[in-house]
Amino acid sequence: MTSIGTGYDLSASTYSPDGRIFQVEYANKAVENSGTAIGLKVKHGVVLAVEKLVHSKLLVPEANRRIQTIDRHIGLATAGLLADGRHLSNRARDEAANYRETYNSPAPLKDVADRLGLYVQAYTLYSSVRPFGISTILGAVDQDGPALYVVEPSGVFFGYNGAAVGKGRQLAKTELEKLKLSELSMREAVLEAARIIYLVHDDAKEKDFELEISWIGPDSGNLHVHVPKDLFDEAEAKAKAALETFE
Amino acid sequence: MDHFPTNWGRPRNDAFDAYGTYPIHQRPQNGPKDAFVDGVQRTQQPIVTGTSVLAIKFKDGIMMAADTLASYGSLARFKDVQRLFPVGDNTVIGAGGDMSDFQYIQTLLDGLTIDEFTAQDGHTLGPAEIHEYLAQVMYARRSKMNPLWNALLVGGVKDGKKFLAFVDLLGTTYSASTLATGYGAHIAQPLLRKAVEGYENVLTEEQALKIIETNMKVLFYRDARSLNKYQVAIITEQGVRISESKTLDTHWSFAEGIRGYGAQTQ
Amino acid sequence: MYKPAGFDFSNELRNNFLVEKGLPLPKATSTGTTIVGCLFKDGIVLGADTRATEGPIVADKNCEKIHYITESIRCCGAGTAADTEFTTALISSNMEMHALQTGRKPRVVTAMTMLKQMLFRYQGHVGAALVLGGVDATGAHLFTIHPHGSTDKLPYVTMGSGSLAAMAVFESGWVPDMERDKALALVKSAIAAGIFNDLGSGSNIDACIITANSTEMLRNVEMPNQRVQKERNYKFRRGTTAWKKEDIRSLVVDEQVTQIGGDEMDTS
Repeated sequence: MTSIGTGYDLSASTYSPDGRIFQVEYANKAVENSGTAIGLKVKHGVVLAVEKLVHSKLLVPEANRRIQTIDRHIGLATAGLLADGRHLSNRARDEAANYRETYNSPAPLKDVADRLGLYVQAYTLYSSVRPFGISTILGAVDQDGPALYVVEPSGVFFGYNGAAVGKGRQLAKTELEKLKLSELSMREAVLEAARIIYLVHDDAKEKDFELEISWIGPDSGNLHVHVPKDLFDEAEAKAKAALETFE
Repeated sequence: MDHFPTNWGRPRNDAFDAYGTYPIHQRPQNGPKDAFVDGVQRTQQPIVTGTSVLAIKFKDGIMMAADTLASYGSLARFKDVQRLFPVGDNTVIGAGGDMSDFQYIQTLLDGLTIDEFTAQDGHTLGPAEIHEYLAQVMYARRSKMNPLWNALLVGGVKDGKKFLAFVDLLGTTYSASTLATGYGAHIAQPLLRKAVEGYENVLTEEQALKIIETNMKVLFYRDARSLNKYQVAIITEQGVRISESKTLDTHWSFAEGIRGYGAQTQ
Repeated sequence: MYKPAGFDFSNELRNNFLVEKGLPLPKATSTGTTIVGCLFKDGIVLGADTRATEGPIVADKNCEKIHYITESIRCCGAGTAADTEFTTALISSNMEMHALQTGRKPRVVTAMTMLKQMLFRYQGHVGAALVLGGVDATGAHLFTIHPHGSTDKLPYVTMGSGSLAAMAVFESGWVPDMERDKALALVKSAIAAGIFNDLGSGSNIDACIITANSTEMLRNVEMPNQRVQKERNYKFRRGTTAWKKEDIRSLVVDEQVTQIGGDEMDTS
């Protein structure tokens, strides 16, 4: 399946004989090796959750955020090279601010996703730059209701009801498919998201991880914020309990 | 002799006498000026304008008022304009001067607030920060000879501290317990000072509203570019409240007995 | 060199040329002053501050701005001090002559008409902005006269650079038919607003209350800007300048006082 480059993988501006751009595929590999990020689009809003792999006990808990806020109503979670994630979230903020200045209205998520897709794709055209090693989950509630998009390193993006990227995406996707997402409330979605993250975390590989959940919907005043502490603690407790019963 | 090698071989500029060798008559260029000759227009004149804004400190916070008129020269063009703008949860900006520049300032501040929000670090911009930001912007624009033609009052309460300051198109800033822009500075300030100075921590909300109402009435009597409809913004620790348009009732009966302007008796 | 009477307009041609070329004419300004007048139940109260300025400098800290026109007519003057002094003095003199000629008590409208006709004749070059008030046989009247000669008849008026501050106080405090004390307090308050909020006005408050029976001139009725006592004594100690020799002589050698007639001048 994976033919190791052999000369066609040295730059993003080279096709392989079977029409693949290896650099982009390698970028996807960077995503696959990173901590899981998931997004759920439910009845009234969107929930994003990230499995933050903690690589040192010296790190300050809750200090290193993976989920960024773009404008008031959009959340962005990335899996892959975290530095690329910060770069893209800055770009997303500029795009959203630019849309606001031009149209005097908050940017609909599909427009932001479109602009980001265009931006990410531009880095797959030239040999002088490398493609972004991140998959980005974008969640928002705009004029058309809740929306969830994923932008991949190739620049392609799709709208989803439930999305998962990173190490545990297979298991996460299976779990997400089991849920009736359009009927869940925001609180239920938060509990489910915590449960899934705890599920996909493989204790054997990485001991320590931190859960990060954010939401956007009527419960959060239509602002993209991290979930309140009491809900977060409840979700974590329930997720840990679910893990016991699962095993 | 021209000592500067970079000028050798180049056309001489007789208009500039580098060594002051003889008096050159500087003819003043006072004819009609073409504003577009540089390809860009800078210093302007305000077109659609708002008049005075008043603000006072009272016991619980800040009270700010402005009428709801945007004039087009001497025409009362837009009679239902809100000149008080909330920024975040603890600041209000009141603007007089050019209304299009004020709308631009609103977009700037909106962008600023969103930037602060996206940082998600628990910090919000308070009135002191907003004021400093505006002062920097206004001064920078005036230094480029392209001012935002406004006089702004910034008022708010954050962490229990009341803040009230002024910034204008030149970048001038000052702070006091009573402030007024435009004609208000000449007409309302004396009344505000007498009523408020010394009582900033004693005046209740009703008393402050009465003071504001009296002053807005006097301004309507004496400012030819004002309106009898106005709004009041009250900022306390609890947050920002901007009232609906209030109408002033005014008394014109003093004119009943007046005939003519001098010797006329009939 | 012989200079004829009246204003010299020989620079007019040059000035108009300069205006065309873009140099604006300096505007006529209402120089530093707050003067007010207000109608009350029994008559008129006039008020004024006492600061006279020369540009940014205070020339006189306690000048009198309420001028005498007749026994029961007074005039406050703002603008160019010389203009107000001479104009009011001239009209005052003319009013006395007029009263003698007509055999009647002088009327406020007469003074007003004389003033406005003179000021209009000078097309605003006489910089006198006046608040004229008094009580005559027809009642109490209050007028305001602008340098170009226009007049207004109103129950309460203010003039001068502090007029906006004073008018604010009037607009929020004047009611018809006030008692004497209230009216005086209102006038003092209005002048105080001018003194403390306008840089062209300052020092003390003068007031003048004119009724049918009396005219009361309250010079320096309030002095809210008195100089504080100096903290230290700055006189030099005796002996600071050393002296070598001391010689005391009485210059009065012999004094004889002889009374002749009285102290009065001999006008026979």
